Amino acid sequence: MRLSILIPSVWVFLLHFVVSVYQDQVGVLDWHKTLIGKSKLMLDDKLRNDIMFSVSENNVLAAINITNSKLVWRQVGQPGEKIFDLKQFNDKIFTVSGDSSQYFRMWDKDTGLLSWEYVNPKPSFKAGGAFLEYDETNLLAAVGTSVFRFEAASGKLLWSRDLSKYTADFGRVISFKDKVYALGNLEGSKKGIRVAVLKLADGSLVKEYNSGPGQSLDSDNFVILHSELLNPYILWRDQGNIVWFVHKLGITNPEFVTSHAKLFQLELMPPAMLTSIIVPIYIKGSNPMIALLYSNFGKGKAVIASLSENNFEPEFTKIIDFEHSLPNYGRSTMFVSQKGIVSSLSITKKNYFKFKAIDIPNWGKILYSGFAKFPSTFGPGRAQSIFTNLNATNFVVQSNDGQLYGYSPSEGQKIVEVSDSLSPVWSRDESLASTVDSVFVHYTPAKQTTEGNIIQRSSEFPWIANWILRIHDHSLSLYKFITSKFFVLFDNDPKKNTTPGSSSSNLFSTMVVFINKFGRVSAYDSNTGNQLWGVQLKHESDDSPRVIKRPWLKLQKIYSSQEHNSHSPTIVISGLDGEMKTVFTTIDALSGTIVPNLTKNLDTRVNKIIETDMVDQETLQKVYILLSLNKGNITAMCWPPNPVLSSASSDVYFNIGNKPGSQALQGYKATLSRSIPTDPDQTSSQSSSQTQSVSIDINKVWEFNLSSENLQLLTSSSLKPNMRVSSIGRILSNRKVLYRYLNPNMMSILASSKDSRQGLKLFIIDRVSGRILYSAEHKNAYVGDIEAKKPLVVMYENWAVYYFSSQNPSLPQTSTDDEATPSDTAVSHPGYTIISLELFESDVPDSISSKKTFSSYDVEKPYVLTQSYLIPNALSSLGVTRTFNSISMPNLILALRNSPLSLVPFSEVDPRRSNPSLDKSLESSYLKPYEPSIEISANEMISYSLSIKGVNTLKSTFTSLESTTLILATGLDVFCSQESPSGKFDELTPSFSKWNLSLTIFLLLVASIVVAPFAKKKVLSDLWN
Amino acid sequence: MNRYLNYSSLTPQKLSEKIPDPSGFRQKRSASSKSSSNAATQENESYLRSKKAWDVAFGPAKSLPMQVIMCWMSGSKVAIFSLLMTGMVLLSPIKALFSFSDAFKHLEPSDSDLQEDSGSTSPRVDLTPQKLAFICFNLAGVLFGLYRLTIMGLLPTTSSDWLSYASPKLFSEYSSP
Repeated sequence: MRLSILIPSVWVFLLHFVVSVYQDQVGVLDWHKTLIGKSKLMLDDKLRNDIMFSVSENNVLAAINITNSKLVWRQVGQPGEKIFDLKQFNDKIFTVSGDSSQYFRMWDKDTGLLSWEYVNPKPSFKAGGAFLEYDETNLLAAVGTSVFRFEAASGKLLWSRDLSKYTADFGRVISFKDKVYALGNLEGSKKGIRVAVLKLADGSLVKEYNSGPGQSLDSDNFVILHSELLNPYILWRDQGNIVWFVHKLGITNPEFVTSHAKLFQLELMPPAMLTSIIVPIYIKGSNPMIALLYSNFGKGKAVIASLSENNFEPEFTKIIDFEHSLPNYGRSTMFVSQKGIVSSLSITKKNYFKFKAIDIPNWGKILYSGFAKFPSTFGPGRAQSIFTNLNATNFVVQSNDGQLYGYSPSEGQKIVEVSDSLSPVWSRDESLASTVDSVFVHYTPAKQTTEGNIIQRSSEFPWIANWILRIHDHSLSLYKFITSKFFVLFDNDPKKNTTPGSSSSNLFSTMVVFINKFGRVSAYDSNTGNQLWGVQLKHESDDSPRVIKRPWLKLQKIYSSQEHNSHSPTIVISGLDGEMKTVFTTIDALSGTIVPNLTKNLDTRVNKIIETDMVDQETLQKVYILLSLNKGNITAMCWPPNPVLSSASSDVYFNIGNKPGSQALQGYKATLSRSIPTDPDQTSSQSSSQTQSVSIDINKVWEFNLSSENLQLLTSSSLKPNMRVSSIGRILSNRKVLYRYLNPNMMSILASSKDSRQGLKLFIIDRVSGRILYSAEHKNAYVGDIEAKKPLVVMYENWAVYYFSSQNPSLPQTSTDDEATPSDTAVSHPGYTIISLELFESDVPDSISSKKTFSSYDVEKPYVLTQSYLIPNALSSLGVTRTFNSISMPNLILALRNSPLSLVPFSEVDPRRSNPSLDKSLESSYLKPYEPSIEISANEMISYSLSIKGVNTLKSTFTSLESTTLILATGLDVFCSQESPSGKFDELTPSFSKWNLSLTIFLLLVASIVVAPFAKKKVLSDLWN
Repeated sequence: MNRYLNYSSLTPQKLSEKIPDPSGFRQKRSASSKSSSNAATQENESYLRSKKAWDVAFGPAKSLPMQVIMCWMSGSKVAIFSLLMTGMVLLSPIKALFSFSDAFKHLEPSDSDLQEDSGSTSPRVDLTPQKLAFICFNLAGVLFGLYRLTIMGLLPTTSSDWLSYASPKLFSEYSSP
């Protein structure tokens, strides 16, 4: 009988240690958002009324169905590439783009497939322009210092002219009759427009000269007016000047000086003249036109005029004037379709806007006009741009943070006066494409399932409390199960699913909070991808009379500032206001509301934020050290202001200069001391928070000067403090242990020569002492300005993996350890290479330091093993998976270009994979023999057949399940996935039945109790016999 | 009336008294018989006891080569047969050591046999060397079993076996990236 009680007791006791959930309770496997980003150029399809082509700030060329917001196709530029211009040629779209090369591409407008491409291997990062000749046969393009003429249908290069001897960056080109006019921005101190006149037939230079002094091609006060009917002109107004200059291209002199009255037949006050801007209008078959956007007694107005020549002098004729946005809102408030329909956006206060479509070729007929309230589907924002389709039956309003709203005001060509506020028919949220930073926030949800409770409590309560609560939860669950089974006999509703584990629950309780460059903060459920809340952080209120281009905070960094087991997690965001002073904003992560007493404008610009391991005892917020750097002086302050610290004094080491382009790294020590002021006036009744103050003492510890070798930092990766490590050693084939060099203060930096495009150096530095623990050089690595080939590095536990591309035949990698002799004989292969290295305490197995405490000032140097591998494609980002206790094997997350996101176990790139050069005593039997190339299997491709483009950041965080990690990819698209790098060892398969198990144990228990007297009787009888 | 039958007439002692020994047969039960060659018989019996005890002592040693061969045949990988074999190799000598007293009990004269007043002629036999040999051979078997466990990697004798219990170091400095 004792056993029959003991066994169930042990079983019940062991329940405490078992935390497992069903596979379908873990949530959806992944979610993603296919984005294009905020549009900077839009072009309506002149052959279809429902399609518009967009070039976004993320350099995505896309075709959008304007009637339903669906993405028809998209083409994502290479990292660093900029699309400068697009033109439509029949059923094709022509683009001019550039990075370290110049690209001229023709795309099929219906499918997005490439028809032809021409690449000029010259860099172009600033401007470019395309021009379809009036006969629509050939294309002209100007980019960088070159002008090109292509046969549009075939892509055949007719001629190209290099104008490199002129110090100008050409970005516009037009032709008229037998001449080509290329216009560029003058480079150097002399600002202005450079004009080159070429012969259309062969591109030979006719003349070149400067014009438009002080102007640039993108200026709001500069336009090029052209049409097939008239010689092209340029027109501009100097900053602070009220007169306009008109210049006929090709003629060195004269420049006509004119006024508003002559241009647009209207009289303006000088302030209105000074703030006005102009918009060029080209309508096929008409004379060049120009629109003037100006302010008339505080109201925005627009006037359109046509250019003609009278006695070889330019003459402007007013066509129409109408209400429009104030000129401060920019040119994007006006859009001209290829058919000549002008759409006007009139932005008013309180989130209303008026819209109007004017058919210019049809004598300025107004197709429709009306007003709409700017929707707040995704949070507050304001209308910024308007685009229309060919016949202007639909229009799209883009907000300042990249959201697109589609409207359908009219059917056909009816004139419509929209009297009621018009509602959008669709919207596209593109704000995540402009993500600046993101953070995972672990929280306790309000509504939980039994399993969710268990997982959350396990980290909060002692085991006995967990056990009692668990019994309670399971009893409740049993009751619910029985009642549901009972009632299901009378209720045959098939929609009700009472299968255990079938309910979707939010077990991971993790949200992802994004900040974007438009001041938007948005939180998404990491399980489902649903938006939880959104906040727009502004430094200018909506009621402000001023119209400024950036009313939002320029957000920089986001941190999770309260521990995950708290019921009220908070996030803190740093941003810059209009005067570039730092504003710290604290937001309640559950509700998305701003915490007013923890939100403050600091009246200074913070250059660096140091996250500490201290907690303010009063607000329970993490303590941050905010650094302002001013000409070598460092000013430090604490956030939250004046925190209450638990310890009297704490040291925090940090670095300055670990940003790309830096040539010097410095290490500092910040000492936070709690001091009690001795002010006699303070009464004893004051709280401790009021009587305490924290002083910060900053001392420079070390400096590493890269400039002595003419190096500059490319990228860096640091270990996170307080890292958890599951094992302190690696087990070898002979069952000895190679102890890992676990130093949480390590930092890897990649540096290259400032003057050369080849040669890469890796340094592993101790952030506290500044000691160089390891260094290596790769002379064949490419480190040029091609964004797609930039080196990457990631560091985790005691290992680092870095990536670079190499073009030349392999050169030996050399260790430049300053004390040890070169020991590395590995060769970095040409191609896309990743090098893995692992640091150990010693090269002798079973040799471990006897010290219980690690200090960065210990003189022991690590033993480094390194190996190189080839990967099949270029990497755009590199990350590593993280689990709570690091029990699961860490995996590299690879964002390979033109390939799905992939996971590669560290064992695949382990430097101890057996090879002839490796000491046999260091081999591990569980590692495969060395192969130079890494093959990625289909199972390792976590984004499978999804088209995830433009990934530049990969993050990972732990979940409540040790086996499972959350992976987040951002850049252009957003992809979030749950992965189990070492298998789902703590998840139950659907075939596992808790009820069957419980029933079996119960029956066994009953059986043991029933048969116990019989067994006893038998034993007694045997003894008697 | 006595309900029990008396079979005492059928006991060997009684039969032997009635039936003559065959020619050349030497009376073994000297203790019970009152033969004239009592001293010689005692010497012979102690020799026999000693010899039998050596047989018992060498028993584990004789089986050890066979066990070695069988273990070698089963391999050193952790598999069902090699585990069974190793278990047998290890448990047999341990069992024998635990039943050490039983192994030699029947070879030692009982206390009643040694009582002079009962007229016993059983000699005192010193089986200590045999017992020591028995222990040594069984210990050799245990050692071989342990060796098998070692080469199979089942004994926590290396540093890797205790790695998960090793506590990580504390860090004296805190740095923020």
